[in-house]
Amino acid sequence: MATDINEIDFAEKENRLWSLTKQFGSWCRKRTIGAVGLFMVLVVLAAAILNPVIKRYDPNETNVPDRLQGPNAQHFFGTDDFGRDLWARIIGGAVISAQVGFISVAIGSVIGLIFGVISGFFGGGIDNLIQRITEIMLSIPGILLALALMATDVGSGGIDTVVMALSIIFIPRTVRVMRGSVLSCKENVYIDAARAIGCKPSRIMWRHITPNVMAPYLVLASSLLGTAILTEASLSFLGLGVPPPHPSWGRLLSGSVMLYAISAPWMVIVPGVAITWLVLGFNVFGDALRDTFDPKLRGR
Amino acid sequence: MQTFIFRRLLFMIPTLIGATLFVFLLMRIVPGDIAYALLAGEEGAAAVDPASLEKLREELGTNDPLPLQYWNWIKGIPMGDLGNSMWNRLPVADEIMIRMPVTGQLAIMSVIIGCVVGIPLGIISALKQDTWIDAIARFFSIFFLALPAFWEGLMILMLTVRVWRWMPPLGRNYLWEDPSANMAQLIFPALIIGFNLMAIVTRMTRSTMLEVLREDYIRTARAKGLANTVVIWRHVLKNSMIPVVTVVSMSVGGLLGGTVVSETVFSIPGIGVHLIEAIRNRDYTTVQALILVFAFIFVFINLLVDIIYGWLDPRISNN
Repeated sequence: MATDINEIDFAEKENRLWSLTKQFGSWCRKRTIGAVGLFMVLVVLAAAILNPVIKRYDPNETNVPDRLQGPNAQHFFGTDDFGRDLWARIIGGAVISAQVGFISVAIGSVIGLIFGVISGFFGGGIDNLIQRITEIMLSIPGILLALALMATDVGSGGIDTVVMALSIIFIPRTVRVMRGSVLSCKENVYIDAARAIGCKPSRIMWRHITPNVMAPYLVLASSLLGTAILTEASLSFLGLGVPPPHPSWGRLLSGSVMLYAISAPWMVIVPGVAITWLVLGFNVFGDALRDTFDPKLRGR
Repeated sequence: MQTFIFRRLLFMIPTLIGATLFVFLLMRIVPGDIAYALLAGEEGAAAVDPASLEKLREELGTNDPLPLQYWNWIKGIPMGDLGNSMWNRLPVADEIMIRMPVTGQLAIMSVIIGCVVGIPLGIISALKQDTWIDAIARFFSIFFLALPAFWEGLMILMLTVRVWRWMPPLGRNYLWEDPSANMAQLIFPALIIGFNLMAIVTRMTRSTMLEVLREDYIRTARAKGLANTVVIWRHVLKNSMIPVVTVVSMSVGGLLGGTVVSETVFSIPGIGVHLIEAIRNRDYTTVQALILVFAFIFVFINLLVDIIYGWLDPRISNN
């Protein structure tokens, strides 16, 4: 008997997986452009994850005889002024971008989510306080806030500082959006029902409201990912982001790269295409997510 | 209306004070001793002499308790005194005044480009929803959101140098002194920032237009036999411009950030480049002052937009 039950469980699990796959398939058919965006992101993520396997050259290995080669069979994207392989550097940059993007969005948006839910749920004095602080944080434009944070840390600056700076930028934005969603979620009858059966406020907040504002949260997080990657690239381009040994996409375009604009244009073109590709992927995917979860906001 | 403006002005004061406090704490609480960093330079710890370190700390006032330091900083701000640069010991405000016109002009040009291209594109996109025109407009706007501004700048420079063997002029060119050099210098960065703004404005115009088009009063307007153009101009546009104005004012933050990047690429001596130089020189007073100036501009523009609102829509100012 026991084996029978196991088999049934197994079959059910397989069914669920299959139905999820089918759902995903129909989503891809309905939102073709969104699926293209997802594909664009997955290509980069796959390259980043498979980096140890597909690696042909070390991103920091200089090889002067091979310098300034155009794209060819050996060096897919060509080489730079030190003979470093651009393909290896782009993939190395993808790893950094993905790391910085996902970690900073995770930290920033989760802290923002917590404060947004508290602010929207309790209202009154707490809400007022959180909203005033949010307003103050928003009064400093994002990239400038990040620059100021990097400024205090020029000497020792590392990936951690970049992640911290980006997280701080994302907190107030998430608080704003989540507070709005919580305010409208609070009006639902099931929240009244939870109150009526004597749920504690904390239970209502985290068990009833939070799961129901996950859709706008995910939409926001996906759009923040694009912002994170663009901002990191801009910071690194300005020489105030990811520090030298790491091949960040922004840093590939900083410094003396324009000296080779005539003799080696691929050095300028390739990193920019990589950034645009990944950010465009995230934005397109995020838009499709928004259309799916929130038809009212369609096309915004 | 006057009480409305007065109330908004009053509300702004705590935000501005909060912004000064936030900037100050940001620059002080993050680990790192300014005096130590200034003396050690790039080489690091070995060369720092404790006596001169103490002397420099005393000079910069970083030995004072934090509340006193904060007070010493903000007490001059209402008079326009933002402190002296740690780099060359000159008043920070003077340098900002010299550089402000260029950055201000760049920002205004960008907003004009963004609105002049973005609003009509959004309107056409909404009116021709789900046609190929709409598809192109939507792709156009999402694409320009993904393009990194600094790379656009590099590509434009590469193109002008390769094709026309021409570079935008360098140095300080005021509009009133040398208009042609000024425009040649600023047009490309303004286009870059403007097209980024255009992307946001197009998306917002399109979506609010679509919302308004579905309203009952639009159906009523059509039902009573108004011409299509009258419906669009009088009813749809008028009612969908308010969210667009909000988006433009919210994007000013991104725009100010965009000026930093574009000014760096095109070597334009505005306050954006000044900020980057100050960060490189570890000139903390200048960084602090510049961030504050940017924050003040941002808050003031939002105030201006609030006032425009109250004027566009009397319901808001009466509330």
